[in-house]
Amino acid sequence: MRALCWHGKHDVRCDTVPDPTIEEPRDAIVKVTSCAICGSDLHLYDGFMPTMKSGDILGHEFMGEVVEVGRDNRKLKVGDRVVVPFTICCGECDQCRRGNFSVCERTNRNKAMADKLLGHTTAGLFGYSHLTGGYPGGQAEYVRVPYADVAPVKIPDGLTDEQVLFLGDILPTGWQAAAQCEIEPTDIVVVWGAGPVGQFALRSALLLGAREVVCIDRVPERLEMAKAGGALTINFDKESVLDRLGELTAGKGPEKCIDAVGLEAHATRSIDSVYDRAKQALMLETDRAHVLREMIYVCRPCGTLSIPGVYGGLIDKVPFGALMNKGLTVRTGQTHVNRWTDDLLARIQRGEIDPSFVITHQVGLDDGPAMYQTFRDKQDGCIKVVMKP
Amino acid sequence: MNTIASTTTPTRQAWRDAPPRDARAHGLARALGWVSIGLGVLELVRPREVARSAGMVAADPLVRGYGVRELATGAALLASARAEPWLWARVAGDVVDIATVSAGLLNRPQAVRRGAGALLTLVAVTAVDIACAAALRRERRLQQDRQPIDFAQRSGFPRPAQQMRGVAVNNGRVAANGFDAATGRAQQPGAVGVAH
Repeated sequence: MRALCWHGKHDVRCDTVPDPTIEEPRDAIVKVTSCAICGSDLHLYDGFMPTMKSGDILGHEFMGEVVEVGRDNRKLKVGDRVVVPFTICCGECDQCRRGNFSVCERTNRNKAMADKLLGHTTAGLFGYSHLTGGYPGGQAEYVRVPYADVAPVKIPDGLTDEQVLFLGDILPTGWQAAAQCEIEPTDIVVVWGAGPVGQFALRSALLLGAREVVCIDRVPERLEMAKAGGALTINFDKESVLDRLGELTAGKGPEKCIDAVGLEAHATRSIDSVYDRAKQALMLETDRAHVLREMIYVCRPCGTLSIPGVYGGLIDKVPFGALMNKGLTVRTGQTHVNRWTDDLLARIQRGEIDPSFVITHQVGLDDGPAMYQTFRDKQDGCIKVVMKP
Repeated sequence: MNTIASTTTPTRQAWRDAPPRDARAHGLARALGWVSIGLGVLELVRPREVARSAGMVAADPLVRGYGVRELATGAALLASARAEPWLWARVAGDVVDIATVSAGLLNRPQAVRRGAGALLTLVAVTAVDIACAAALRRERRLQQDRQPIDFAQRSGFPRPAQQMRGVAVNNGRVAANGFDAATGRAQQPGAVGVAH
């Protein structure tokens, strides 16, 4: 089969690889009908995530048709149309029973490595390094789905791939980011980053009743899309984020701040961002934490910081004194996708939201390597790439 | 099932006119950053040898000062998201270097061969710096001049965005899977079911 494989920094190729097979009785094989490049895939593309190996199949946003099931899988049958969440969960461990699916205790095949590095393992993920299990990803014609009797979401007839594909990651990720802010009707919610997760986070904040939603970015079309979703926008290349947020909140700061940027912040007019880039260039720091610092600084005392943006390692010069003294609450984590999928699927069916608005490019798998670069460079108005294997 | 007419997906053709990123210029800028750092270190550690190779007898503090300048521009080139201003800073530094070597040549005609070689190298490096900065300026201007792609209709909502405020709060909070749709908290421990 054809699949997008990682071969090193900025080196993704469409290779021919062996077809996947059933390995465990609860497995299923899914023939992929649509898959997407996620913003967090760019951290792999840019070489920020350790434990990748040449030839690893990328991709954790995918859906398709079940073509084979293991003998113990009572949930799926051949012909089912499913969206597969990016977190692999067993459904039976302590964490899964509490709905903390992204920290499932059993699905990471390299648990020992994760235990050593992180203190405790997190769930296995598709196509996202060997630290998260080394599972082949979904930017391929076929995928083996382990524990396929737990997470895959069956899709009813009448919904297109484009409407439901993002149930597997970025829609629930944006939703969780807003939901864990516990938004009150008086709240101003600020979202840093108008990429796909930022777009869903700001729309979720609106649906969850925020008084005002503000989005910060510098790419004109992304800000335009944020505005279409009901947000006020701040272009950080053209105006001061601190001044504008001061004006919008009468100097008190926003109650809720969402970091939809993560480890590759691209601030240009701040000393700390130059500092981060210099340290990163000299390999003295792994992540650029400008957004975190800015959120801690601007957030109203006793406010909440919600962090769906991916961080990979170590950050420096985080004003923890301000965080502590202001009494800020920090909510973060990979998304517990299955907490939200039933509810969000129902909202899509009711027409409350059509997630396909975010798609800007639809291509075949062969164009995938070029689209990684286009997406990374934010060229061609690229916000979300969907591929049809 | 509602459909939202405003969220049609454009084809790739719609984006073909957008200005491409000049990957070669960006790569060259990074390379020049490392050249700056290498030269800066050399000027700091071996100022006398650097001066001699340019046919000059320059004071060590002067050459070391130039080394600090090279290190600063090199680090800025590698660290900054926008390389162009730092390339122009390199060009300014090149002009200073050319002036310094030229003045040295006038004072030491006996070292004319080495001095001329150094001057030629400096002129060539300056030309590369200018070409790289100009390419990045061209890319920036193309980006600035292009019309932002119109995403004004891409709300993803069936009604104007402001009418969607609070819709998810008003139409029920408890999801079918047992989690509170607004907070993500389980209604009771173990409420999530595993289908067997």
